Amino acid sequence: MEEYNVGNKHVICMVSDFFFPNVGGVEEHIFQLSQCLLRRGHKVIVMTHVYGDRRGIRHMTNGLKVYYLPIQPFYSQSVLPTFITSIPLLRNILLRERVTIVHGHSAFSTMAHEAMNLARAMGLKSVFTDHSLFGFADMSAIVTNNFLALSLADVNHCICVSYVGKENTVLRANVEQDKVSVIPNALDTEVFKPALPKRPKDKINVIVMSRLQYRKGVDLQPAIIKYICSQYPQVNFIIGGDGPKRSILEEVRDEVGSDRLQLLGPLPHANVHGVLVQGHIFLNTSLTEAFCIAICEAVSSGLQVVSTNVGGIPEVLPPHLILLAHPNVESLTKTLEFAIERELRNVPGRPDPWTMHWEMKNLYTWPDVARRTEIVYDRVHKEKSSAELVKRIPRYKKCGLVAGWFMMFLVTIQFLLLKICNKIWPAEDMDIAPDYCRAAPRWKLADERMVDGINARSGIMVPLARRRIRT
Amino acid sequence: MKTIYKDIHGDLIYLEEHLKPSDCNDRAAEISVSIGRIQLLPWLGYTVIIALLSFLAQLHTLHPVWLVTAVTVQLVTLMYRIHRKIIRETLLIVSGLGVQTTITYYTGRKHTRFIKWNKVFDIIIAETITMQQVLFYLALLVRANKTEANLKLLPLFLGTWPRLACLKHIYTAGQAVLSPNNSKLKMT
Repeated sequence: MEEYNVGNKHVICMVSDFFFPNVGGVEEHIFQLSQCLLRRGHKVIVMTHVYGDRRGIRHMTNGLKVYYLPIQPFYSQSVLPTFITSIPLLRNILLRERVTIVHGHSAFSTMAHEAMNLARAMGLKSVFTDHSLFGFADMSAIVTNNFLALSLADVNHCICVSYVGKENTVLRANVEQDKVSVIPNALDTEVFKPALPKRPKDKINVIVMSRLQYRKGVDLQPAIIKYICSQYPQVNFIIGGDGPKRSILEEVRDEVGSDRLQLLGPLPHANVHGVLVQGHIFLNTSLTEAFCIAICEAVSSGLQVVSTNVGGIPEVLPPHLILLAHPNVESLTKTLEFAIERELRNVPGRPDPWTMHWEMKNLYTWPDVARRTEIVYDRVHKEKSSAELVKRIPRYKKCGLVAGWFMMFLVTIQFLLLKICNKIWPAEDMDIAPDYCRAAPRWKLADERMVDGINARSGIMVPLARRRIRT
Repeated sequence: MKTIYKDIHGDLIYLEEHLKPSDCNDRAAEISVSIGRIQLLPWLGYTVIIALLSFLAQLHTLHPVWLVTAVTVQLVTLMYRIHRKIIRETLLIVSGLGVQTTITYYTGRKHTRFIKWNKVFDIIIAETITMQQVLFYLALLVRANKTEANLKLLPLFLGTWPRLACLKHIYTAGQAVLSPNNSKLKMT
């Protein structure tokens, strides 16, 4: 690991279309990462678009400032990629908060791409975190990959959540591989503890927890469920989540009976643990996955995990904590049967839930993610960055004839608009937002990595609203 | 005594403290923000340019009725703008009595609003997002209902839009009267 300057404090602007009150992996990632960075003394702000009546500026835990910008989402929570209409507002925020690094999240978030590009035009640094994998073959993937390549042609650094993700990003977005780092996701293992008394003694529950969509392999599930239900009368299924494929599972439920297959519907993340501890085995049928946080949560809760060996899943967990299968019905059924047998007969190969939990603990922690992200920030901070058009335009030459020229055209317009903005709203007529005054920390952090500081008592790293639910 | 500040458009505004909290034992404060004199020269300039442009576009060859209508519409708009033009906003806080805001228009018309002392909860500086920029503004936190604890935001100085430095000045004076015990609060 290269040496880096500890005293270097950055002002980081996280941009994504996906943020609280929306729930999901990206939202959780941004929130937890921001909290850890704030704790390490950086200033962090978050930009996202309005969510219903949640608009304007909000402050979350520890003074995390969130801008809910008045831009309406148009398709699956992403804003319309106009590229130029949002320039004045984004420029204003970047200037008034004195942002030095813009950190975009998720390839699907158009706002992140717009903000990162604007940051480059303003001479700031940009970092991009990719949370998902893509294919190469179908039409939508080709289009998305092209757009991603355009956007990432002018980014300082990329972060992927697994080595498979890195490979994928380097291939489809045409980024130089030394500009891509791998920093895994993390989870709060303090929340996901085994609770053995909550499991039914005479039954075996198989938990499936995912968005019910094609990517998650929901189409494989009916055959597996029907077979297992007919073979093992003591095995029941509990499926949490919602999505377009819910109807096919409802059909299965009508066939096998609602006592064998329970559909819980949409589940807030705070309730996930309550469902996990009811089960013995966790089944994951994803067809593509960059870094599956759900299986980590399940292992941490002491469940046996049966999963497909796609994407980044094999590299996430050590082999003795997970049972891998090929993404087809036969292989998954066989592995699931093996897990059920192990549960029924108490075969010695089955690891103890608490051992699993202790092994998961400190494997993926948010402070560790923050520390590694900080290294990326420090490195990016040292890079030379020029907002001059002469320097920026050639970067798009590798993007192909049509797309490259189109992008050069857009960047030129963006440059002109920025000049106009500088005339209409000069930077010196803009008020600098005061920093949030940090209250004195309530406890000392002994370890530099802060692992114990955060995991010790109260599981602090939860959004305010969620904490309210729990109490 | 006038202090010169800037508004969000970069124009000069003048802050006048008619009554300083320090002079009356933190019992009252009266502060007014007024805009500078309205510049006539730019107006004349724009008028000349528009007149020239309409000549070039041969607008004078149109039917007189159209011309009269256009001119009337313009005049009515101008009158309306002058009528609505705010030149001074005053904030008067008297401990134990209430808060009074006065808006003075260009035509000399005045609009006064009074909030009783028991309804006033606090004075704050908040931020708002417009389509192009993020702005600071001063707001009174007012108890909408005596029984419930729900508070309403009452934005102040929306006619002059002073910048943060000016708002801090007003805020400090306001806090001195509203909560004299914590008036030594340091602004960051």
